[in-house]
Amino acid sequence: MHIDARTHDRAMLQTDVCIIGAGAAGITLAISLAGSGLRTLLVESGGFERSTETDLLNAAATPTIGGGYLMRSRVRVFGGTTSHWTGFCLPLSDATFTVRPWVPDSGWPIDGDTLHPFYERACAQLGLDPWARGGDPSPAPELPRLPLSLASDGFGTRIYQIKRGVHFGEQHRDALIDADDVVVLTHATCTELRASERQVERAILRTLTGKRLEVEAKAFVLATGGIENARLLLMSNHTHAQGLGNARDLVGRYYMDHPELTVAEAVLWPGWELDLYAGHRLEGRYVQLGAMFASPARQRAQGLLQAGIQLARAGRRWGTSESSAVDHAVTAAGFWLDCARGGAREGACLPAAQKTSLFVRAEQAPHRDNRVVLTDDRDAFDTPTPRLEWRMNELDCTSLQRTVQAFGHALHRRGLGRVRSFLGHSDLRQVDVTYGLELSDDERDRVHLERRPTILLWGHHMGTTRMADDAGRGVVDRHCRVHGVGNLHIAGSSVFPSGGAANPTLTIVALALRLAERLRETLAGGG
Amino acid sequence: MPYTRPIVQDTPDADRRLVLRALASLVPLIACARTTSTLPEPPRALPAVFPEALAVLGRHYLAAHPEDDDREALRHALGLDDAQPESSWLAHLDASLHRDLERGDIIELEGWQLTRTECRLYALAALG
Repeated sequence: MHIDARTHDRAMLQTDVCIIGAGAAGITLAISLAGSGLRTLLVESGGFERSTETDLLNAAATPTIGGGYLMRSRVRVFGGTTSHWTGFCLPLSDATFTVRPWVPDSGWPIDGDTLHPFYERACAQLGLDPWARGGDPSPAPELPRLPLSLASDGFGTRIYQIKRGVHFGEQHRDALIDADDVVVLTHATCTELRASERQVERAILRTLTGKRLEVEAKAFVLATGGIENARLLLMSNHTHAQGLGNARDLVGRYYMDHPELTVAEAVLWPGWELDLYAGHRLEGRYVQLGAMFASPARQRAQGLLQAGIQLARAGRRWGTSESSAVDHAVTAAGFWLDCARGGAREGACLPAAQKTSLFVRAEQAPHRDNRVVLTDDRDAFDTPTPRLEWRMNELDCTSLQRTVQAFGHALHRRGLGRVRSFLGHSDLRQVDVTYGLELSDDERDRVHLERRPTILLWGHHMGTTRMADDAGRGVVDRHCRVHGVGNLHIAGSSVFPSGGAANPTLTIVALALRLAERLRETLAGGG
Repeated sequence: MPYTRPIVQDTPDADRRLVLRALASLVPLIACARTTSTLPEPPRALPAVFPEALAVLGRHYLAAHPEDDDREALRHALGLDDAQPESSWLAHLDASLHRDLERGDIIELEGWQLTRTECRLYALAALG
């Protein structure tokens, strides 16, 4: 059933599970609960089409990030941000889940083994080939990889799968509306969760037409994204002055995204196939794309965060008019030296060398001062708008520089080419930061070609309701239940305590599938 | 420095022997770039601008590492101070490059990540 809250005549709704937010997490939960015998209400702030009036509810201040970062990266529509998702999928690496002594506040209370079966189910839902445990998608791409996987090299290739045009709203709308035990409620914005000491009693919903509804449920799930999940908890201060679940002042803190930037250019000697790194279309279904990551041993030895190194514009010939004579000289001399060492391939010829930009999508270390706070400004519901306090920290910057350096050394050692870093004299805490999706292809190309870094963020809002078994270190427990609030769960990337370097949507879906299983078990059993 | 298109032969089957010969030609060329009034004829496989371009890099290296600003010491470090056959010098160079890479003795010049041995070659071009 579908209800438009603007025309609904009842002020109170009752259900078993109330899911607030119909994005990747909320829709996955609702699909998984359909047919379970539990009555599910799926609440969406927007409708089935975007509207400017609803989008204006995304107003937020981001003083350190340009490009309308929080205004444009969030979408209030049925389907949420999957409506403009680029479709990049990759499971988090095992290292992401572990406590890494060189990364303060790192580590999840669950591990890769726990999540693996849910990743497999997430792949089935998205129409992807499942990744083998800790390895490649199966079947693995047959394209050759850069040979950098020896222990002394310390880099390996991981394979993204990119599935374009996956709009959860369009894909699942009809099935959810037709489901006997699911109600889809659109145009209803949750402005507060009213709670007793240890339980959410009801959700307050409002429409832009002035209506007010309340929902009572056995269980509530917040699935409104990394900014709104925190904002809603902070705004829900009727009985908890600091906000719901915020007794330890953790809600909104530890915000992370995946900074992406062009870090270097490389000249790769001819003879190495780079098709995998340029994106390999597979039977028209999706694209497989290789990126190189430092091995766990190298990360540990050098104190690195994770970072996926991708090759942009692969296939351009060396020796274009953009290159200076010095560039020519250093690459030509390097090529000959490597030939003498037996590194470059027999029969190779310098003019066939490929010049490429290297860009990375990097992990950001969790830091409690990167946070979402409420401001005195008000939105159309007279509720406080959020401000994001965010910056690159020292570990984020040094890790990037060390990663590029290590990658350059590995290429050099194996006689594969030479790297020219753009990071040498840059203080990455001072460079421009902007929302990547707002740039046109030409603008993005220009950013890649500029030999100075510009940080692009893609709206991966993570960490603001982080997961930890210890209530003093996290907002939710390993089951995504808010510490101290028995019937409130959180879905989405706001629960990630560390973000790794993989795009978050696949993990969001896997965690939502896991949470659905938990809710089915606990609620069906009367828990 | 004005851009000059390299004149490297675009022969996809250039073999290892040609490369070795070109590399062997490189060192005496850059070593005498500043000491003789008439440069030897550059091998066909070398861009004409090479000596000057490499010397630019060499000057950058010497500015950052003045302790290497000594032509004889550089020749010694590069194994060029004794008359020796080409193959012996290449073996010395190979060992030196491997040693740099094993030690991580990599230096950033104009952003390029280069071994110390490479940098010393360019420094010799600058001092020549």
